[in-house]
Amino acid sequence: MEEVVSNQDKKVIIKVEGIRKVYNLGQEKVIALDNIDLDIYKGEILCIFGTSGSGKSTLLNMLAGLEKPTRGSVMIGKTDITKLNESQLALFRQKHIGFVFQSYNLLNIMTSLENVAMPLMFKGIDKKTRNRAAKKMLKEVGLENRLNHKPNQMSGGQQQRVGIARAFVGNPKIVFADEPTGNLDSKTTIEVMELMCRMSKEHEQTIILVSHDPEIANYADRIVHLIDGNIKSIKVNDKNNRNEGKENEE
Amino acid sequence: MKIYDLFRLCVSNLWKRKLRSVLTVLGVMIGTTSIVVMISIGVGLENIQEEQISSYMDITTIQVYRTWGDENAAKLDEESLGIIKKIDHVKAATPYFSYYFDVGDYSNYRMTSGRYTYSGSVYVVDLSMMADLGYELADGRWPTAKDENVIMFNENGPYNFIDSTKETWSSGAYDSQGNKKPLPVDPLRKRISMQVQYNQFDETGNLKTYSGDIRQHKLTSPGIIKGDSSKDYGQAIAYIDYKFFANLKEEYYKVNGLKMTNNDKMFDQVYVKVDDIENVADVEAQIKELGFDTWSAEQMRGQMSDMMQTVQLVLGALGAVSMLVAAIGIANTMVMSIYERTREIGVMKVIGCRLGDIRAMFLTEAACIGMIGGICGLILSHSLSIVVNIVMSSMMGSTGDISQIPLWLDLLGFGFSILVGIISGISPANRAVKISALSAIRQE
Repeated sequence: MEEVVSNQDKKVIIKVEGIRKVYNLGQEKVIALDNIDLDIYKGEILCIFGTSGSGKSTLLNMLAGLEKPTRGSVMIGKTDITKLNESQLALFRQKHIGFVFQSYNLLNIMTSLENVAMPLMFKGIDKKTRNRAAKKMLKEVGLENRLNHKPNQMSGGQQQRVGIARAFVGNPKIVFADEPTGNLDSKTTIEVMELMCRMSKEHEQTIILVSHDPEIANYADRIVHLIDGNIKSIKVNDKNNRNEGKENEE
Repeated sequence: MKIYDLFRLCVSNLWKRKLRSVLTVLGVMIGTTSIVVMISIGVGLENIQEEQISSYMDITTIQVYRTWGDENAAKLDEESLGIIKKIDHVKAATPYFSYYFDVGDYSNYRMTSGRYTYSGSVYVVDLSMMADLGYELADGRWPTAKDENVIMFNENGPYNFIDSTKETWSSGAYDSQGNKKPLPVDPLRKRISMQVQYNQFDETGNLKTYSGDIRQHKLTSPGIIKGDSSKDYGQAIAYIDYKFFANLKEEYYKVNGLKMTNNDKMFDQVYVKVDDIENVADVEAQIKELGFDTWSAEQMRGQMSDMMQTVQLVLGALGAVSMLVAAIGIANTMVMSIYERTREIGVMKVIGCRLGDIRAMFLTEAACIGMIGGICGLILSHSLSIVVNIVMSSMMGSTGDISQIPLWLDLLGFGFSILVGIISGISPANRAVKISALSAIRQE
């Protein structure tokens, strides 16, 4: 494990210490995460990169509080989310976390406006206020003329943009994105990734990205490379590097 | 989450699965209808029966008897009357016993108006209580405290006045053609008086002559009491105030040279009017505790009412069977819905829906199915009830509505259907709450 650079001057928002996750599959024990220590900084875009089976999705689930580790702690701000119960976690997610899914996961009975407004509805915000916020969000992702479309009337790229608007609408501190472009073509992938990066930079939000695709990882500020449940490397990806990569591609 | 949002979400989810929602609602509708209609028949039967009883007797009146022959028995006098009046739920209490006045020598009292003499029943009562006892005026007014020597007749009462030179007893209010005859004496306009009789006989059975003067009491008759078949057997009656009568009685003893004992001052019978049928049994028990014998229609009615409640319960239970089926239907629909929406529920959890809201969502849906089913069921019940009544009355003649849905039954049906919805929804809702956010995302 080689640590290339450490960002001393940045504020840590997530502190992962000694995370280990073991699944019991019948008689066999599968170690999904071995021993993970990781600091994630406020406002950065972090990519958890690895092949399938490397434990990257498991790590994301731990960070988002969707799954409990076998041992270790995940401090978000001052809260150890591994110690929270189900309803505390739900409240925590409601307040601080946004989520972008690979398969969009929009509700088909609702329009895009209603889908985006949903996290605010769960917070108990009245219809007028939350619709105004949702409309503003949809405008930011360039879907101001798709407000009343149902998800099945939109393309994958459009649906994912609705998904992004939904993740950002509550102005969360952290947005998790699990293979957000996995179902999209390469042109749409670029659009979606640039949208996410732009939005997170505007509001100084932290994005934690999970991908197996180096192109996607390239959008991140730092790339955590996971192999067999251990961090192999953490690379800082500076801007020039990223532009270079793009030029090379063209 | 706001309640408004909960309902909107619930409606759009039910609407999305229209057919299934409608079928489930149908089940609740049938369940509610069968319970409501069954109970409505029980209610109808009970009401018909109660109407029948109250058409020939006053069911809120308790009769209290004097105990004869036992010196130590409770005394039915002014004092006990006062105690009885103070019992809770007693609306009125009055002495209530009758004398027969006639034209013969044996009658202790004689009431006359011109050439007419009264020959019939006279009831000794507290006239100030008559309105509370349920008597109504046909004419005139009720007596006030200022009125002295009061006598009141019911509508047919004056027909008991007979012209003793021509008749020996009253021939009633109607002539042979069935037409009402003119009143022999109009109590509101004619002067009526009362006199105690001296009727002591010598050894040979001849009436002795009285040397002194016997006072003529001029009577006041301020009003006429309406005839009522459920009271006093629909007889022609004169009602005399009990305090005035006590004086008369004393006078009679004096004139005839008899000694009046305490026993002679007691009332033979007292009527107690209770404010509501439901309290009759309770009041009656309290009066019995004072040591008096009583009678009321309650004993009979109580037994019938118990029987009718059993009938209602059995009918309701029959109806409840189909409600149970409906409840299973709701639970099944909810479980299916949760299976289909596993992913949706997971997503909601991930993007910040709280556990309580998830539970509330599904309980609302289940309650909504119950409520809509309940409302439809009540509409159907009322329609069916009308049909049943029309069919039954054409088959058996008009004996009253056999199916009656009082407001409490509507509320019961409505409340019960919602309750069944919620109860059937509890277990599925808990299942939804337990769905892991993670597995919802994984399932692809």
